[in-house]
Amino acid sequence: MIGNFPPALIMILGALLVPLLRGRVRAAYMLALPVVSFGYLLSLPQGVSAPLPLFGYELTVLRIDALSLLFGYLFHLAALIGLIYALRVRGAAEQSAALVYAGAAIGAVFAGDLITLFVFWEILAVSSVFLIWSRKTERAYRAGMRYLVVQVASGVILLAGIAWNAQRTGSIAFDASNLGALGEGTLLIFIAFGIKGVFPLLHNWATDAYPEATATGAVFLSAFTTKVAVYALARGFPGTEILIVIGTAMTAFPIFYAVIENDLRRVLVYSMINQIGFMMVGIGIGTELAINGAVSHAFNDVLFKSLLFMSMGAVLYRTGKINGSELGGLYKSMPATTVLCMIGAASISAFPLFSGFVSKSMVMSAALKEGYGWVWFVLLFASAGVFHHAGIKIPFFAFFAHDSGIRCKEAPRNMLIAMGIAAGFCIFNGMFPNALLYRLLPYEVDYIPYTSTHVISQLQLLFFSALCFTWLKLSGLYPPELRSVNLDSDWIYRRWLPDLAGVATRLGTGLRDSTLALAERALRGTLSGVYRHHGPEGVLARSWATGSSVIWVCILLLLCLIIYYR
Amino acid sequence: MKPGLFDEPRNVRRVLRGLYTVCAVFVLIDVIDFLAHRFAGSPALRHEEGPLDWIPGYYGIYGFVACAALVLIAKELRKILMRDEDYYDR
Repeated sequence: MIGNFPPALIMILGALLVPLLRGRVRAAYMLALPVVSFGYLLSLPQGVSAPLPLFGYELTVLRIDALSLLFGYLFHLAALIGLIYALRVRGAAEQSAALVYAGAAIGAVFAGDLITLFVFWEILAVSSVFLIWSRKTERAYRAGMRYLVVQVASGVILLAGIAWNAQRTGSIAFDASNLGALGEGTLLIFIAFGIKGVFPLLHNWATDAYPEATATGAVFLSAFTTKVAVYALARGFPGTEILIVIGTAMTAFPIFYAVIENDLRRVLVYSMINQIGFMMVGIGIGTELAINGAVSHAFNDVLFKSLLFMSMGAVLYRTGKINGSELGGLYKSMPATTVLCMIGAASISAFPLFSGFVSKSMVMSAALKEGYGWVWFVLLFASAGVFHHAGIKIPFFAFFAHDSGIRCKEAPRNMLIAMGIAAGFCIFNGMFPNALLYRLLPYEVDYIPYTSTHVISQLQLLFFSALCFTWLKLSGLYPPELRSVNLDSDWIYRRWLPDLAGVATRLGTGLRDSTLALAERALRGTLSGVYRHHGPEGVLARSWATGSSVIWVCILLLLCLIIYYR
Repeated sequence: MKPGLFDEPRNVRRVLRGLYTVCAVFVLIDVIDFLAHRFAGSPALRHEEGPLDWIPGYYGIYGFVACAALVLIAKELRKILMRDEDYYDR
């Protein structure tokens, strides 16, 4: 049994002090938080915390084992890199939000029960939206709103699923034995995880909102939310076969978008979905090799994806531009950023000696071993594709291509340091996977990445992809970068539903108008009838002479007399 | 600012020539490996792992075709998917 104080609270509560501090003190304080939190985490033994009673349930706020530790270490590293990168940010709101957000991600991976998970799940949603709103543009505000709605919806669905499942099984345990059983509750939980895990058609909040975040905010965003979902699925749903199909789709469809997308950070979000697809396939296969592949790829992905986001953030910070159509030739102004970006690009493309090479292939090997030949074909296609759009397109259109004429300063030193740390880990993990990465994995590693087969096949795949890019570019077949928007599933709620609402409103108004017209006509008819009979000229409203009235009264009295005379 | 490394067309040509050479070398390795393994019985450098990958140069062909398909299909998709930049703001 270990104490009940989650490491997550160090950053979450620590963030409250940030607005009170200024300048260098604030910077030092913020960098100290993840370090202190990490030190505290190292001091904790593996195990679960003492149950904490709440509303008749027993919460396990801390569960420390190999799987949660890998993500815990990773998130501390990502938080530190992100904070160094964001040192120049002045706004306390953005900095506090980033700390709370990173803390919530750490809290979620150490959550031992579903209610604790839910609490951190919601903190993740609410804190992260400030990283988008801090851009302070109308676009960012609206994108942030849409993002928040989706994230909160994921939380609500999660809560409903937890309640439903708890009612059926009486358990709030956050593990595969509780969630693996098929039921309405677990299905809802699966969908909630899937929203944050960017399942196809549920993915669009990421491609919509992340590119609208601040240069620094996008770095944090790319690291945490989706990887918490990867962890949650690896914890709750390993070996769920539908994940193989979902993951395979995720590796394939976004790369088409990535090729035609102009906003280079949006390209990165599409490639993030593609990389998470590999992890989903691994989780879906569920063997030891596959799970190892999925989580080691998550580890590497956070580092190379944040490196790529940082390099694009530096470009945005220095030039104010991020569209491929407006950039180019920046290698002259930002040589260090160029090199660092290319290290990230080589890592995501899984070049030998770079980190992607030692993790992605585990998932692909597992797919072959378990007899998923068709999955392997698609993953191979996706591997070529990711090199094409993330490995070549990102550095090429930002730093090379035609000279855009932009001359700017190199990225600030703190950004270069942050990128340098991430790049160092990319190379270190790629060259010495056994030194750190493979030791952190939940299962014994019986996999050798550097075989002649693997190196030759991977290099062949990559160099011929590059050859294809060269051919398409030289022959003019390559689609030019165009200022544009590409329709994706957000079209449903940004265009189709509002249009539908418009039609419904028009229909409703029409119906209301015609009903009113009909009612008015009926009312007019009645009124004019009443008027005719009772109006000034009406038969019933005429004034009568006194004499004739007396006669009528006499007649009535006479009638009464005759009737009642007996 | 002084002209960059790639403002000189000669340097671009060098990079391209390097790429072509590397590609050729890898196909050559694969072909030699295939022949040596099949007919001389030497141990294979590149083992078969998936379906069809006994074909020499399989990964190169796959990579080239996959990328060409990816880009050309994506280009066609633009006709369906692409809208003006302010599409959602109108």
